[in-house]
Order: sequence, then structure tokens, then C-alpha cells
Amino acid sequence: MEGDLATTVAKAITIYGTGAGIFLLFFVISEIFLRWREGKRPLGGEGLANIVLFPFGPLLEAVILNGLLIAGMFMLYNITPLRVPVELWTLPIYFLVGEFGYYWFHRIGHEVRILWADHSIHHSAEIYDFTVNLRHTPFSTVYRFIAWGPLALLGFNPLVLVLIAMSAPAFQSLCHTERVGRFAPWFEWLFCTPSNHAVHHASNPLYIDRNYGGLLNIWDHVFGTYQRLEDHTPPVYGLTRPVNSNNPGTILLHEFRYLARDFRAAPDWRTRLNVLFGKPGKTFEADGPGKGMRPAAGLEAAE
Amino acid sequence: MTPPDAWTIAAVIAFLALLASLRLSVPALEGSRLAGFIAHPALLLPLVLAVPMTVGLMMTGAVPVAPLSARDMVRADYGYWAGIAALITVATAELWLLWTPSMVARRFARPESREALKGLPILNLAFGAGFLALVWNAWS
Repeated sequence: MEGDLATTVAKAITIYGTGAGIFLLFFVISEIFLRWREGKRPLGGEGLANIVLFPFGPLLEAVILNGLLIAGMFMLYNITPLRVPVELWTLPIYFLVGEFGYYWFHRIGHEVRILWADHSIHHSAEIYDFTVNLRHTPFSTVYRFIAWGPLALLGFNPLVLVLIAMSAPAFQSLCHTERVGRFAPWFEWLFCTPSNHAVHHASNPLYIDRNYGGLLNIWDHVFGTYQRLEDHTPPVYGLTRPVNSNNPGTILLHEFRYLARDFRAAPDWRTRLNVLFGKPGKTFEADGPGKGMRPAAGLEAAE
Repeated sequence: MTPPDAWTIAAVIAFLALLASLRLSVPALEGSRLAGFIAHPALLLPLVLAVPMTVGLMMTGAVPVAPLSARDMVRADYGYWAGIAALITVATAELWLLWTPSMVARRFARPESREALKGLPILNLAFGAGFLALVWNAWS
């Protein structure tokens, strides 16, 4: 029975991912088309790097890591006596709980340094366009499991959880663009949109570590991490410690290099553990805090 | 008339999501208060799962591209209302493949991007039609 369910999960993920991929393809073609219409190079260096990085996510995630994720989630689901039925009336609960899982998966990806080393790959793009969604990270399944595992232990069906986990990145394909402005205020408050996701991708102090939601911003409001896009602070995209390269290898290893350097240079094990699991920007750094960081653009604008 | 069942609810939700999609797709409906009420954007939420899933099912040949064929196929297995839900969902997925994304982009475009986005509906139509023709050809 559970084996059948695991097969169904794998099949559903493939079908959903293929369908969402068609829309992603459309957005990437649109980006190239629109850049051409705007008189820009249809594919600049960063856009090409995004495309080159695309296989790292799907290949690693879809082929190897999602298999491990599903296996792990079913292991937890099988050892718990709890069951949350999949019925029409429980779907809204699944949705909110799935969003809760996505929120924490995303938040720990930003706020735990070893996970940020991976997730920062997606955030290293300095041009915010549809191709940014191709800039995948290889290890996000690991922290997805950390966030989603407890939900499987509570008896939530992994099939539904994994589908909801996939729906947020699929929806966010729409959001990586500066060409679309603000929607109605209530819509901006409730849903992930191009403007409030632009905040998430910005490195201005006002915007850092904000707007973690997948489809909805509900959990950002609950945990106080929501920030609207302010007219007085235009977003500056990319990392506070910029990559300054379109070489895919450099982009992939950028934060991992600093992580390894700081881990090696840390004076004791307590500091080393803090380097791995502390908040980025707040842990020990071999060359002192703030070196190589870009000036805090948002501060001047806000003041 | 076939009595309502759980699929009736699915069909109603699918219908409301179709109305909300049409509201985004047809510029003339932008200011209508009635449309704003019965085709509220919050009704688009189920489409985040339904549209990519339907497109994926079309690609695997599990669901036909023609909405009426999809209705007949699903009705044979799951009953009348499931067939209606399938008909509406396939039509909505095709609307999103062919037209709606470009109209959303145009409607909410920043002023500096409006000129470039004018050509997007044609690209959207060509991409969606090309994709549907390929799938149709592969499974017919």
C-alpha cells in the first residue's frame, strides 16, 4: 500500500514538474524575446550562466535527491501512527501546512549559514528576470527534508506535501521579473508577487531576509518577516558579497568557499559550529566582518 | 440530471477558476464589479496545482488535448461531474497556455515595459498553439 503511494508520488511529481516546465520554458523564451524588443542582448552573461546552472537542480534533485526525499518522508510517515486524511475538507489544511513547511524550508535556507551557502546560488543573480528561476541550487532537497520531515511525522501525506512543495517554485516562475508592477494592495499582502518577491531577492538592509512565503505571505505576516517594496528604496539585487563572475563553477562555489575558509580559520569548535549553523553575516569571518561586502545601498536611500 | 457528488464541488471550483482566468484574459472585463465579485483573483489559487498537472497529463497522453474528448474519457471512468470538471480544467489549462500569461503581464506592466510587452500575446499564442499541436500530433 505504502509502496504504491510512493510510486504515485514519484509519478505525480514527474507529471507536475513536466507541466510546470512548459510554463518555465515559455517564460524563458519570453525573457529572450522581451530583451530583444527592448534593444538589449537577448542573452547576457548572467542569463547564460542561469541556463547553464539549470541542470544542476533538476538533474541532482529530480534524479537523486528527490528520490531520497520521498524515501525519507515515507520512512517517517510509516513510523508514525498519526494520519491526516486526504479529503476535500482537509485540502485547505494541507495547503496551509504545506505553506508553513515551505516558509521554514526557505527561512532556514537563508538563516543557517551552511544552507545559505547552497541557497545563495539562486540569489547571486544581479539581474532580476525570468531566467533567475533557472539558477538552481544542488542541495535544497536536504533542507526541504529538514522542514518537511516533521510534517510527515505528524501524519500528513507525503504525496500532497511534495506536490505543494513543488507548486511554490512553479508559481514563482511568474514572479521573477521587474517588468510587471504592483497588483492590488490586498493581493500584494496575501500572495507572492513580482514586487514582493523582488524584495526577497534584494540585498538592501531593509529587504534582507524578508518574504519567505511560497504562494502566500501568510506565514511571513505571522512571523514578522513580511516587507513590502518601498518606493524610497529601490531593490539592489544579488548578494551583499557579490560573486562578480558569470562562471557557473565560481557561482556554485562562491559562498561554500567562504564557509570553508571561515570554518578552517575558526579558533575553536564552538566557533566552527557557529560558522556552520549560525546566521550568515553574524558568524566568525576570517578577514573580519563585512569585508568584501557591497555598501548598504538601501540605508542611504531610506534615510 | 445526474445527482451532485464530490466531483460536483470540483466542477464548481474549476468553473470559478475558469471565470477568474477569463477576467484576467479579457481586457474588457477589467473594470466590471460583477466580474470582480464572481471571478475574484483568489479563485485562481487551485490553478497553481491544476494547470501544470493538466499540462503534464496532456504530455503523457493521459488526458486528451481536446476538452470534449477529455470530458468523455474522464466521464467513462469517474462519472458525469468528473467529466465536466475535466472539460473545464483542460479548457482553463489551454487558456493559460495560449493567452492569459501575456495578458496579465500587459495589464500590470510597469510604464517603461509596456511597449516591449505589446508583442507578447502573439508569442504566447504561437508558443501555446505550437505546444498543443505537438502534443496532439504525438498522441493522435
